[in-house]
Amino acid sequence: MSPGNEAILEAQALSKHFGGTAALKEVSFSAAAGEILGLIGPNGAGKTTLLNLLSGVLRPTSGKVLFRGRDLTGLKTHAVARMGIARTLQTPRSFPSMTVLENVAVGALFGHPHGRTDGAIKSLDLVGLGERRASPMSSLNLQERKMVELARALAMEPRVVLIDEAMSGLNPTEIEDSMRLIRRVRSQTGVTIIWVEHVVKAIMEVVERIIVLNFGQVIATGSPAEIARNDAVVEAYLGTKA
Amino acid sequence: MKKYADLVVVAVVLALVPVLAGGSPYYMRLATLALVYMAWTVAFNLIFGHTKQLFLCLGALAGSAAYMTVVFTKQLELSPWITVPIGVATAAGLGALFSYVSVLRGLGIIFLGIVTLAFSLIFHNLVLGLRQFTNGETGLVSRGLGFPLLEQPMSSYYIFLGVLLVALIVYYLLMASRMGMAVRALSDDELTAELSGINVTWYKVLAAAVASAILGLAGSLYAFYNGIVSPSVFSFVSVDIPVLIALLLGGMRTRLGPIIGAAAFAVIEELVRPFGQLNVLVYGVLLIVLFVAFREGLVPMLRKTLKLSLP
Ligand SMILES: Nc1ncnc2c1ncn2[C@@H]1O[C@H](COP(=O)(O)OP(=O)(O)OP(=O)(O)O)[C@@H](O)[C@H]1O
Ligand SMILES: [Mg+2]
Repeated sequence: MSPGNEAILEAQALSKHFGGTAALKEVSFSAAAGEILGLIGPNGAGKTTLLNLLSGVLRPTSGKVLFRGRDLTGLKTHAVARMGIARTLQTPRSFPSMTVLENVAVGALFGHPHGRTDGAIKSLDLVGLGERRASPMSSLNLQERKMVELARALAMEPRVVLIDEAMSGLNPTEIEDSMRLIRRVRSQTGVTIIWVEHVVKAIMEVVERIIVLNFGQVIATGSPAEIARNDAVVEAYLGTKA
Repeated sequence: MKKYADLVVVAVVLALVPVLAGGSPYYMRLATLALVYMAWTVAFNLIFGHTKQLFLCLGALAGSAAYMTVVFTKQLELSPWITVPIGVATAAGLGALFSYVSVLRGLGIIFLGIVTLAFSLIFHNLVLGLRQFTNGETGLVSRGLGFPLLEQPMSSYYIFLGVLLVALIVYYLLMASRMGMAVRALSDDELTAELSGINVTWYKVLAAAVASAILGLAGSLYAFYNGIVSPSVFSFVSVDIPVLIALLLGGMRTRLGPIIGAAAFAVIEELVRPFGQLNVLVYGVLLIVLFVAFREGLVPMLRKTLKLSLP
């Protein structure tokens, strides 16, 4: 944990079973206020499932989620969102009948504790889509739609934002841009970021701490440098991607 | 108040219809019925158009309200000022219940359709079974029980115009509020709406309750106006199918669609009247054509082809 910061979001022994199979087994970790926490792991490791539990989309089979000391387990998704945990999806889903700005304004109007809409333009500018505010969603490419999702999440002025992959399918320059963006988001808003990413090199350069999941369990936690030296991590990634 | 100009136009045009009817009782009755169906279609637009809840029990909801109202007025000799609100509350409660259960159990649009269709059958059977209250297939005579103004063609017409305008104003106000944005979002994508902080359950149940109250209000008053309540007045064929056609024809999620659609349906109904029982066949074919080839509706079509800014 970064020095001097208290935990803002904490997972306590979270497990999730789908039928007979366990997608997550006793996962515990905590995120400090203001940190960027990376979450990596091979395909099917349980990263998205973990974000689903943290955002109230799914209920844990057992275990607890604490947000600023309060137990969130069992709260509805919209209630979790309003308390200050925003979330983007691995495959972006937007409101196709709305313009870019309207998409973001929904987050500001309903996700913000006081229903303010002035944050919508600000967060669109932050992700670099200010110029496209009047465009229909159908005119955007995949990466732009992901950025609209991020802008919608930020317009909620959350305390924590959970990002499920921001960079898959990007070329190296675009990856550089996204890395700068994530840093800028944190420095401008002070939001805590929990970031799932397959582009391990990018995540290593941006985050303070990394949690590695494999087969639904935490196999390592530490600074990027520590993770890079960790034998269990290297083994988990061997033959997949490094 | 430019935002509500179309409401004023609708009110003025419909208020002038009795002049065109020239006092003909036949046309007055047609026009009054058209108002009832317009109000029902406004309600259905809210449930199905805006929140994608396929209620196939519009007749049963309106009928529940109508029977509650008439039976209570008759059996308990209560004033219609009390029994109409009871009817409205019954419909609203049932509508909210179906909506809540469907959200709670995660019923998709098809399953909600099946559940509500089953309720239509239950309602029909209940009315036939509770003969001592409902007088079965023959129906209950409601003439003379309700409001005297609903016994005369001219005043009845303006009462139903008032009901329609109330329904439209409620609809406009809801859509202009936060709810308008919320239902647009949730009909696009429910998960994204929840993740944005929208209480999807609440807005769906609210839409269903308000719309069912409108169905019930028009249903209860229609029961008095009609002089008799019988299962056939509120059957699936006499309410749900016309309303479905009217909404699709006029255009879902538009303000004027339900008005134009229900008016157009009234005209179609007159045209197919000579075919007698075959009219249901015509409606069936019409519904298929609408669903397959004309899901947009008249209002969006006119917007596009004539470049009109219709609300
Ligand atoms: N709703 C569900 N029902 C059944 N099984 C599920 C469900 N969601 C996830 N799983 C299973 O749980 C496991 C973890 O999936 P999850 O999507 O969390 O992995 P992930 O780490 O996000 O993978 P990826 O990197 O491919 O996105 C997988 O085996 C997956 O098949
Ligand atoms: Mg995933």
